[in-house]
Amino acid sequence: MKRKGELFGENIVGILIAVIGLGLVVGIIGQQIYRANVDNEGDSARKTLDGIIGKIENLQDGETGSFAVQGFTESNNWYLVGFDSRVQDRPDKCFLESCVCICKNADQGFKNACQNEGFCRFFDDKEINVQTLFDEVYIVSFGSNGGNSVDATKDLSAFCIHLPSNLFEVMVSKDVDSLSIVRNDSSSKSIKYVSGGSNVCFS
Amino acid sequence: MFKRGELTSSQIITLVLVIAGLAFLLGFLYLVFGGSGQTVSRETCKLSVLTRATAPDEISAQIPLNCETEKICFTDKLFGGNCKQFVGEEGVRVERISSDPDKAAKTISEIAANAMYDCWSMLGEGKIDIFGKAWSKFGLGDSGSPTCIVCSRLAISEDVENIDEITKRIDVDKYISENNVPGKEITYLESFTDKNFRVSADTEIDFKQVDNLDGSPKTISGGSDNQIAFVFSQVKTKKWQDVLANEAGLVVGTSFFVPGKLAIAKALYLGPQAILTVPITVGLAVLPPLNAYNGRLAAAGYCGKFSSSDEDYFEGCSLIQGVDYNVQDINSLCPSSIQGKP
Repeated sequence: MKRKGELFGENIVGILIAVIGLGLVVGIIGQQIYRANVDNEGDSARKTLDGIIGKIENLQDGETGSFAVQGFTESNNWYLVGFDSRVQDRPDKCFLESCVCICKNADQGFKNACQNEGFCRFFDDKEINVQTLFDEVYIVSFGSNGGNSVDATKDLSAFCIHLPSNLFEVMVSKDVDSLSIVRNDSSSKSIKYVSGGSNVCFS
Repeated sequence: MFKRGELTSSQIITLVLVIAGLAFLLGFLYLVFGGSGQTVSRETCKLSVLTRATAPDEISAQIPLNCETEKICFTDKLFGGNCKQFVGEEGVRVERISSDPDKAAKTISEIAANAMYDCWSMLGEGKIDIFGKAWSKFGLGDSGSPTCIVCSRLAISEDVENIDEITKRIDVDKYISENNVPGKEITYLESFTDKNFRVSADTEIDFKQVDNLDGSPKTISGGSDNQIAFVFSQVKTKKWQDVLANEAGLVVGTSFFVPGKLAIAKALYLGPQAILTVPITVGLAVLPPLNAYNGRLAAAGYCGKFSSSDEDYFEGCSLIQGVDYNVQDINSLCPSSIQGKP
């Protein structure tokens, strides 16, 4: 007659292997289910940022490169922004370092947008410049008294990159103490500017 | 009597069976979920496409298209080997090619053909209204603008030896016309054309230079990132019936396939791009950007009614096209929007 626990003792190896196998199966299936249900937009934004950063890191100091960045579903809600370590007005998640962030819904300002709904990557204390150069911009100004005016201007720049919904090219210049990410936007733009307020994509 | 620690024969047999079963299970899981999870990614995309197409109009635009761009890097290195085009990007699938140019070219042609076919199959062979009411939600303007999904990007590592010899031999069109889809009794070409069209390897297609719509000569787009992509685009318009025409017997009914000799080979190589054009009348009014692009790479398409939950069904054209992965060429094909995940 078998003693209490003897059955367990005889099959300990089999049980152990079964547990490990089951754990692997559950883990792998769970991972795939997670992948299928993860926040697509946020995940796409993070991947876009990581792709840009990966290519930046592939550059040596003193090098310049350009590469295409692919848009994604709802990418026009997202902005690429740089925060210098010397600037006070920056998201807490950048800590004490310079950082490049991809952030959503910049209506509340980039600091809050990047802190609440953004992803950031660090660059020590490099001088960061993330910029869009426009060929031609029409600024529609809305005055506080309800009037408005339209001014055309050239060579305007914005200190951020608004992600378009298709493919766009960025030029990166990397140096020991500086990093510049620039997008040339040759399409005509109409930008609303509210007097007394601020369009968050301008300096 | 057994000594302490000694295993009985039944225990040994059990142990062997458990280990063998575990090895089999792990092998099965690797096949299904292995590598970059291609099978799961494809099925996830397909499911999201079907879900969106069959959902009520009110919520279809809210359903995300869970389609991720597949990245494929060709290298002949046994270990390491990567494509600088995909630095920093996740889910890159590395495909080893032989140092023998003929074998390498065949591998690349096969994988390119599969990438094109998988994209077409995954997105309902162009017959499903994928973007539905998303058109108005995403502010894509009138339905005459194509919307796209970048299904896959293919690049050859700059470390590959004999790259000139390899690219000279790549012929995706020939592979598509001569080889069966894995697991099926029909060729890729028959699959793209609903089995209505067969072409022999001897068929010669005449190519002619086609300029831009305004008559200016097509300029070479050097591109900043030398790789190709298979892009699915869809446009809604009823004008397709006026412009769809048979060209050299290639356009059959509402499903068509247009080959592009050598262009895929040249596009994959990190070097100068070739201009090679194909007359595509369907591109003239229905898909203006395609005509401007001049259809350098193989393209398959469908024009007609889209399946949709909307009673007021849409008509238009869907296209799966190989293009150079650069801003000018991609945005010519996709002026409005790229959906899915990068």
